[in-house]
Amino acid sequence: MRMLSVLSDHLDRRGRSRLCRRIEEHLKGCPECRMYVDTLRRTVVLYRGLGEETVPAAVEQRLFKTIRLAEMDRESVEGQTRKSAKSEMQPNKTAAKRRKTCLSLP
Amino acid sequence: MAQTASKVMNPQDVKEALYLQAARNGDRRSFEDLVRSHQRRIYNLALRMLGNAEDAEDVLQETFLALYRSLKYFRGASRLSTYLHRTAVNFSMMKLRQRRRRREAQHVALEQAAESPDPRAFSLEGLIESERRALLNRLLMGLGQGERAAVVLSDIEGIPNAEASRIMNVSLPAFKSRLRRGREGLRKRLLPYIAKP
Repeated sequence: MRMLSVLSDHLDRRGRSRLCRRIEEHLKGCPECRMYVDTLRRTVVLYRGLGEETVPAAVEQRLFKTIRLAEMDRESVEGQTRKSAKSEMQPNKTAAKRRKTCLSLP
Repeated sequence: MAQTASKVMNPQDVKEALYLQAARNGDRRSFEDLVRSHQRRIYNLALRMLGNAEDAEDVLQETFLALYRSLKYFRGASRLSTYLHRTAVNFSMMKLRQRRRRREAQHVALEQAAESPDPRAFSLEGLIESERRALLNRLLMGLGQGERAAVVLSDIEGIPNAEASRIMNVSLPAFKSRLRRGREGLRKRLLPYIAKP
């Protein structure tokens, strides 16, 4: 298992480290490991070449629409928060009048 | 001094930081520019993780909505691309778990299909491009979630292992172990197509 791990890591290594050289040396004399690394390398190359899909225009449009809706939601929540904070700081006139009326009762 | 040097940003990061600041101040266009520059990679990541366009679109939307909602708190402790990839991987895994719960039988069927490559095809060269891509995607879907994410991030997206381990929130040795298992799983399944006679 450790050997497989070393061989998998070997594919990601760049340059000519001492370990790389030792692995290359080993591969020369070991057909089994060579076959393993060769097929593993081909697998990785195949997946690296898979390429990218373009985001379809309709998907992009829906994404921006969703973001705009989230923006509107946020603005509406912030608006309500501001409104309620304002009303807490400045009690509305009707409430003030009501209080005044109550106070004027005998 | 070392700290100052580690904070030096490349031009792309500087541009993103400016866009992020503008987006935080409510500039929607800046946010949309950020989306445009990252959406393709996030969409592809989700597509490879989930295997279908509909779910990939959901993950794309959820990922950018999460960024939008956390703009205020996003202070660039990690790179934006790392944050987006991590969010997309998490949403994809969540979706896979939901899907597994909902459609256990279908998932098993998919795995079985991935286990048994078409014995009539002996070389990938014999397949047309779309068939080859479909085969590679099908085999990828046969891997476990963690192994698939490691292969997608490292081998398909080309993200360095250290960064990919941060995206997956696992240690580097744990990431390498998943990557090795993922590659090995794919290699075994591809063997009928790639082994030289």
